[in-house]
Amino acid sequence: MEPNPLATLTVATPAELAAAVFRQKEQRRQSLAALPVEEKYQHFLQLQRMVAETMRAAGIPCPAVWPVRD
Amino acid sequence: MESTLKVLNDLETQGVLTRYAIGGAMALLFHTEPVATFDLNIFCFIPESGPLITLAPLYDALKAGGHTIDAEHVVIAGVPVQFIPAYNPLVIEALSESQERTFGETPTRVLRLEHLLAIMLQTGRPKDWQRAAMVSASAPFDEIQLLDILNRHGLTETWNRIRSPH
Repeated sequence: MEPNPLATLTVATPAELAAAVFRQKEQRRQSLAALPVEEKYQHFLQLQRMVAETMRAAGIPCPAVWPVRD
Repeated sequence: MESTLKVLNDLETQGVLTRYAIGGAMALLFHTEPVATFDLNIFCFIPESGPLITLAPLYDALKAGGHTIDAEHVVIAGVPVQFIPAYNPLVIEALSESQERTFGETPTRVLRLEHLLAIMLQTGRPKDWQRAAMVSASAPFDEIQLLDILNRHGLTETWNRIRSPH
């Protein structure tokens, strides 16, 4: 687990806190985008399962998820 | 998905498809962060002998290979694949200039990010425009190439509208 930079911002303006949150999100997004496609695919499969679960919980018909193994 | 791509490569080797490339949300996986989708969009050239084409030989070959037809999809190794014949000059160009990539140990082709963005703009559904705005703000693309594509396919105004909506 990477250290949370927000934990060090004990005193900050709302704008500084928000900027720190957005910066951290952007860093996480960039690290994810830079992964090899095969690793990103594993994240994609997790994401697909989360979306499917949310759709089912909401009573929305959901297509089948893709197999984890070929 | 690797098994699915192997089947697509076999279809190309057999001449059932002339050329294919991954498009849609799954193509974005090769360029940026993952986005959710439930089908694999495959843009393809189909062998033709006149102005009309038919998907029947493709579907016959897939059925003979034991794959299931399900509405507009063919389920190949558990992945619902949607075959989209190249239907206009932009898509023809995108497919012709698609990039060679590998997934695992399997070679495949993927539409370039600039063409994906242009196709999202041209398709014009709200979710495509939203995705185009999101992807263009976060993924590295070649702006000169994109502007050239947009200009040649009459999409510059649409691009300006989604970049500066107000």
